[in-house]
Amino acid sequence: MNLSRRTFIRLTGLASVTGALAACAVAPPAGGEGGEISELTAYFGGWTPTQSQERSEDNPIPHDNIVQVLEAYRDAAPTTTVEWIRVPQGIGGREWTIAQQNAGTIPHVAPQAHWHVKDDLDKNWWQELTPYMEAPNPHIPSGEPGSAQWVDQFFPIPTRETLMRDGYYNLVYGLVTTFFYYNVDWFNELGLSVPANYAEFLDVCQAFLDEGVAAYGGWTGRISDTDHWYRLQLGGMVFARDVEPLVNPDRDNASYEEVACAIENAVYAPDSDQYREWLRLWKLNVKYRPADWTTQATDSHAKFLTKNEPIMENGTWSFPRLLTDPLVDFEWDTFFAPLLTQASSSFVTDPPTPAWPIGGPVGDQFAIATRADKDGVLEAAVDLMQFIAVPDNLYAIQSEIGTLMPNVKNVPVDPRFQEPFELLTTQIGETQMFIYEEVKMDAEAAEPIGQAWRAFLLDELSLDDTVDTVSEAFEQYADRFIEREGLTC
Amino acid sequence: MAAETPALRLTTGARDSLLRQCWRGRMGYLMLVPTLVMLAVFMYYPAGLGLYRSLFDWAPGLDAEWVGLGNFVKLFTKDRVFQQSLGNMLQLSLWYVLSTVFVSLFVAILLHRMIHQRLKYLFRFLTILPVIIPGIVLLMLWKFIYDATVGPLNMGLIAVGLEGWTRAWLADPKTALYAVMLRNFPWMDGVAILILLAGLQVIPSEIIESARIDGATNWRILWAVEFPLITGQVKLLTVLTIMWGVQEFTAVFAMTQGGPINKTMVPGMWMFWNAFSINKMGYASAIGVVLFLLTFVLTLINMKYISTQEY
Repeated sequence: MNLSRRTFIRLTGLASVTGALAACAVAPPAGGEGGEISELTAYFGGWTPTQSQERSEDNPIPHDNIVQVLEAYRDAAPTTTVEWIRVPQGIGGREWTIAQQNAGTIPHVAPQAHWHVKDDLDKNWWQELTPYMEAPNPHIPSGEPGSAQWVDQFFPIPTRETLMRDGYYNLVYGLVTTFFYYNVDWFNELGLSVPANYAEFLDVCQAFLDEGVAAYGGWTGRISDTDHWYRLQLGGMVFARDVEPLVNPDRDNASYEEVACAIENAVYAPDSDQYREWLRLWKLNVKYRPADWTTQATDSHAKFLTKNEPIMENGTWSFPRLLTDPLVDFEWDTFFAPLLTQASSSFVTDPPTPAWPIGGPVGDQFAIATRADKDGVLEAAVDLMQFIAVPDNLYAIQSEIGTLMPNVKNVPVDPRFQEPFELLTTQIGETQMFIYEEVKMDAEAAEPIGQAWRAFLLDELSLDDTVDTVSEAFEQYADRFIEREGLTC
Repeated sequence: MAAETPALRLTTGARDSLLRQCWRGRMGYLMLVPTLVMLAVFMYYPAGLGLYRSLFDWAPGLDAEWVGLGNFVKLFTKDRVFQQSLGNMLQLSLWYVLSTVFVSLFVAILLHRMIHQRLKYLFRFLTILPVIIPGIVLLMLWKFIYDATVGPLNMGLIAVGLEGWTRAWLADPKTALYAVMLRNFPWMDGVAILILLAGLQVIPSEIIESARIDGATNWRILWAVEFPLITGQVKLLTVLTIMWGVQEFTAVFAMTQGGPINKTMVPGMWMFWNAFSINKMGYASAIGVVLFLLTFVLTLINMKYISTQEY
């Protein structure tokens, strides 16, 4: 084929114009004013329907009630469509969110923990919801909580924990806490009773180890997060007498400012005797853990169910699985974090201070991306989340799954959770834990700290070197936060 | 005929201006445009952008701050995890090169020397077949093999009375890197075997026959004749394997996420963590640039110092 100069120019011109037109063809805003269809996209995290409604080992908690709620919403808001998406399992939530935000493809509604939102505040990724929280929820009948201000629907103590720069960015529908689940039959077999304190806990673990069993199973999270939550409770009990009154005197929510200033002023310092004591005590239980405890999300459930581990530290979300799994042919029960007494450490109060309750406003957390505003569907997104907050709707979703307690008033609480529910709605949860690095500092600091303490637990780093590494991360974090917030300590 | 292949006429117009030569080869260039555009949009632009971003302290949503070479200085002077990851990467790369080249060469030679053609075909087929298994499946399989509680490796050790040797292979800081390294035993790479086998098969039989007439043994033929003549293929495999090792991410991500305590951390994983866990895109870009330079330099060294013989 031979091209003439004219044909060549014509062809290249045509290709250029076509390309330019394609590049300029921007999709119109999805939402709209006055009667136009608002097209919402949402990822509902743990509420996403399971692909099968048949209960099995791989599908222990089938659920799809969110679909019914969305169908009801279609009747309530006919001008809004909701496309919910399914994210493949195994995708790290934070990584997925960051990638989607960077690409501008984040769903308008997405699960997002408030401790991650705090790291994103300056990025304008998440919509501040305070004006909506202070306005009525139109789906709530007059006189009910929420009919005057949406925020009244939520329990104030846990919800207040999510405040950032005096604003709300998250909607927290669920409360969680943790327990030590234990195999009662196995305990009885060895003549063991529930440990009341840390010394007894170690004795129980040793009794199992003498039988060749690594007893203390638990959840190992991302290294920037935690290994077993009890570590945080141990720390809280070590710091309760001498340090906490200086960092967080009212034992209320430990604000980011309080924590950063405590680090800056060396009130909360890794080279303190208390911090070293915490690390020492914490390490005492490592030899009772399964060999693969350092593996992220090691399946402690399976080990507990198959009677490889007699103790499993895990959250409220373990209840439904333990209640329904056919592998459970033994009696099980729970106990709360054993106390740290002066028999174990000279730094603790006398009488001992109970451990901080793990959890709080941690479950079913959602945020609305600022993309919703850019797409003109912010009002619709808020309205959808207000509709979900209607007690009957939320109950339909949460009770089917059964892993969490509600953070919304007038939603019936599973009787099994009544006691922790009372605790969590009347006292502060994990945001009073000023030592929880990922929650009270940031992921950039939490990662090297996590690496250091894990290396210490694994005998790969001396106590002094661990303290040095942690101190460096502490100082860098405090500098970073104080500079960013323009804080004066 | 000549009129329909204007590209061929380029050779005759050496003194012509570049523009004129381009015009004469317009059909060929026009055909190349779509590929070049795609390459530019999807390869060169992101790479260039990465290079540019590596000079900034930048996260999407925040103002970018020019730091010049600051990210690189921090990488090599302060970032202990990155430095550790470089060490891990070098160990992994070295092992990948050794295992891929040597094992594949050994298998290729065995296949090449097989006399029975049907059997040769069958073995070749069986050797290549695993190539179609997605890599992630193999990684999951090996993760299971290494499992501390139910993994076949520990089960096997217990069965032969070596209970003391059992461990959580991927969770133990002393073994995790080696466990990642030694996965996919017996390390037969189907593609590498194909490349080497192709190299061996195209060696002219006259050369081999001459060597035999001169009294060369099989070993001597291999060492003095065949091996020098397939150094091109070996070099190609070495380059590819170095690139694979330096850019390692998938295995570490799927098996250990860089843990425990960074014992299996590699730069690719560290780049991912910085980009998508704490959203330091500028810093992550700097790691990407270092990876590119490392690959480039190692490839250049390989190309320069491993000579190829032709026949």
